[in-house]
Amino acid sequence: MKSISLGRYYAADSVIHRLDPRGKIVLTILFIVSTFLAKNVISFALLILFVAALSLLSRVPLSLILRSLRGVTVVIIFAALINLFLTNIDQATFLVEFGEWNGRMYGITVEGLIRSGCMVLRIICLIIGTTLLLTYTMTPIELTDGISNLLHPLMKIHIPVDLFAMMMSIALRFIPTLSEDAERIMNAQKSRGTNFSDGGLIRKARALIPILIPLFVSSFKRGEELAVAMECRCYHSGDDRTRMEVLKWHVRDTLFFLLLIALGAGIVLINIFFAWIPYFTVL
Amino acid sequence: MAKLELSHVGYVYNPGTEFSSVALEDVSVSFEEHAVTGIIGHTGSGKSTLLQLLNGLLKPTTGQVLLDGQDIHETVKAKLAREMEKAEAEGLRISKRQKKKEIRTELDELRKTLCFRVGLVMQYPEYQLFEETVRKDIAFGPKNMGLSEEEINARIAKVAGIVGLTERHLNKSPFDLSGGQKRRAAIAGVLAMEPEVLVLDEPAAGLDPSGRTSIFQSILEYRKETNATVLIVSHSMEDMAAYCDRVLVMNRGRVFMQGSCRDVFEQSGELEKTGLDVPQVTHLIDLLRSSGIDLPQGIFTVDDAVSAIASRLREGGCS
Repeated sequence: MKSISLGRYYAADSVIHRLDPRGKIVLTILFIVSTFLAKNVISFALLILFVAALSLLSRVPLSLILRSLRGVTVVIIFAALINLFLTNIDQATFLVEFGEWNGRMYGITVEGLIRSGCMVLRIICLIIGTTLLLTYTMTPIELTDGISNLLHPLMKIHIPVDLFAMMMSIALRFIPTLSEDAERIMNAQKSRGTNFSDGGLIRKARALIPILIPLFVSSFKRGEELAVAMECRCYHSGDDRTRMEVLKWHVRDTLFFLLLIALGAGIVLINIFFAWIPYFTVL
Repeated sequence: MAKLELSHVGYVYNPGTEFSSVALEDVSVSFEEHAVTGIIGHTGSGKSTLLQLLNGLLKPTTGQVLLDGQDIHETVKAKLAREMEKAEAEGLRISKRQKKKEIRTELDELRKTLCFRVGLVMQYPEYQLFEETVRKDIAFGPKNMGLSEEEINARIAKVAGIVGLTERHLNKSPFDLSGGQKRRAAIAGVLAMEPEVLVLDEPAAGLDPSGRTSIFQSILEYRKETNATVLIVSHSMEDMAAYCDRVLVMNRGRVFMQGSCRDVFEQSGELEKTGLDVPQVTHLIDLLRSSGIDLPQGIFTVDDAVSAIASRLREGGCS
């Protein structure tokens, strides 16, 4: 369980790693919008080009990037099949006909094929792009910092954004600690003969009691100790709190920002100006 | 005969990934029956990994762990092939199917009872307490063994005596005990399974001196009563010298030294190379010796030092 590191941050020194977290969060949103705007082959080519450039610049190994897709394999296959068989466009060109049902023809169409391919590409670009921007190149702490910074204006209407951010960073910080605790307790109970794998659902649930109770006790204890330690260092929230690492907006952040806006605008323009090509607009 | 044996054991965490790290490399050790063996080594030297291999929590990447001469992870197929070969060499004819069935039940039984035969007390075992009362918590292991009510009660009474918990403690919630009592209750939970091999990872860590002594006394008493083999990981050279017959020194996932306390502590230079130390009292005796006071070499416990210095004084030879 030691291999679980939340967000799976990949430590490296690259342009993408050095981008401002606030910028990266907004960039991610822009990127997601762009992937959904892409409706044809040329705009997808543009997207793929962008994702490839991002991967190269981030210096994250390809194997790790591909691993981020492992979790969504089922979704990708499902989306591909649904689009392949259930694309309903009037006057579609059929490659294979399965038969008629409720007055509609079902089968594999050229449109369905293109649409399903584009859907797969869209999901792949979406996952790789967002994991690269949000998890592989950004530590969880940077992420919470970025979010709290972006939400800072909400403080004006008395929403304690900084407290939420602190809670979130503490929660993230303690995930590895708690998972280590859980592993230790599990090993201790296994050494006393607990069997987690045998028996029905109820027996399995019961086998968790010897793990959960000590885990609760130890996390309460840790929480209390942390609270005392923070109070000892005079922790308090509010506007006068300063940060150790102040976020700075650089020229490269602006450049990346412009690049993504160009990407989004490019995709929209392609959608409009090339719409006359047959089979072009598929989604 | 060796009770527990490691033969060319290697262990790698997360093999085949970018997080992979070698914890143990070609470790071959045997732990003699009834002996108390101390395991010392720096943080990250592979001690804790070693302990988890002994009761099957971890499976070695290479090599074997043998309990009473039986590889604890041996497959039915491998054992069958071995037995058949042996039978053939002896000229015996046995039914292969029958034998396979026998071996399967034998190995299943071994795997099921392994954690009861090799009792592991993890570091800070008080974190494992969870029941409403100490009595119930101690009964958890024996219950998992499927023992009868009377047997469990008899065992609780016995181990409570060994670790020094009274009837009043037994009926309390484990969370109402003091730190030292919690530790003893948790150790009692493992002792109640009456393991043939008792393995303890820093059983006295974080306790005051009287707490330390009482924990070690309990362990020795358990060994005396059950004749168990005992392995203790500790950072305290004083404890090693006082309670262990043999010492195993680990360094960077390999066996660095092993032998009797005397053999190991006499090589203070070698020990210091790994960042470990000899007991403080040995340092003191060395200093006294080098300043010209005639004292015997090889003193590792305070008691020995006291009697050596006392007899030296009686001789009146303080130059």
